[in-house]
Amino acid sequence: MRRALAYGTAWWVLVEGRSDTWVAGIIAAALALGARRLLDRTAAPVPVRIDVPGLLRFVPFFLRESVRGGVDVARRALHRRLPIAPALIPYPLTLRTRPAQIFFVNAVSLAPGMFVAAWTGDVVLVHVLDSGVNVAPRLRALEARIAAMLGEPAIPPWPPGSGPPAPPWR
Amino acid sequence: MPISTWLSIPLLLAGAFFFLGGTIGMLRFPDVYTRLHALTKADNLGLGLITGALVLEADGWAVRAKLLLIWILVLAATATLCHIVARAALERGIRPWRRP
Repeated sequence: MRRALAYGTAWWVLVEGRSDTWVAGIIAAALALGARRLLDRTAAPVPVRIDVPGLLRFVPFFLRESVRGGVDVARRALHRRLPIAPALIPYPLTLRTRPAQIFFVNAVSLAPGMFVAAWTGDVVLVHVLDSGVNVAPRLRALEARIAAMLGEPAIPPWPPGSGPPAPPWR
Repeated sequence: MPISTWLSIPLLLAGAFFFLGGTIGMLRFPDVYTRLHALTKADNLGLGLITGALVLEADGWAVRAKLLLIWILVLAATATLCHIVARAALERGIRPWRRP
């Protein structure tokens, strides 16, 4: 019921509070509910508790990273010599709950010069635009911010020796 | 002109600049993975700036809320699509371009 209300509110915002589109709104909200049910059946839902101060600290961080990411890629694209040296880098996650990991994978796509290209278990394969930049500390910082926002306890780093997997084509 | 218009003009121009940067990156970058960088990051910043300009120009909070909601939905869709396209390309064995 809470979800139905949330989807209804989203529709109401999208149509700017007009009342003559409520039939389409009910259909759209019902379809969204159905899609959500389908997703819940493939993966058991995990309750998410959002830490409000953590969220408020995450928003400016995220905006800053978005600006840096956009400026960085535009600069490289417009540069005469196209200064890129892409690489795939395995990165072991310390986030353990599924919602936090999903949020991380999506947030990395918007961070400067990287995105998650593959994801198996607790290891992600990050595609970076410039292999000269050490991205691991930045990914750790992003994880820490997401952990604070989603109320996940800080987890000790990946144990040495349990190495990340090789890229799939090797 | 009201002050909001003077503020929104540079935001719109900057937004258009980043969309242009993303498009040029899309054309110049060598493979699907690097092109995804150009598309997701430059376009997201361009969209953010243009949304900011439109929020300044909008009449009423209903329109502003709508613009912000659209921005958030597009951000979420772009981030997920970027990951899905890259994963599909890797699964098909498309090797990332490396500087020779």
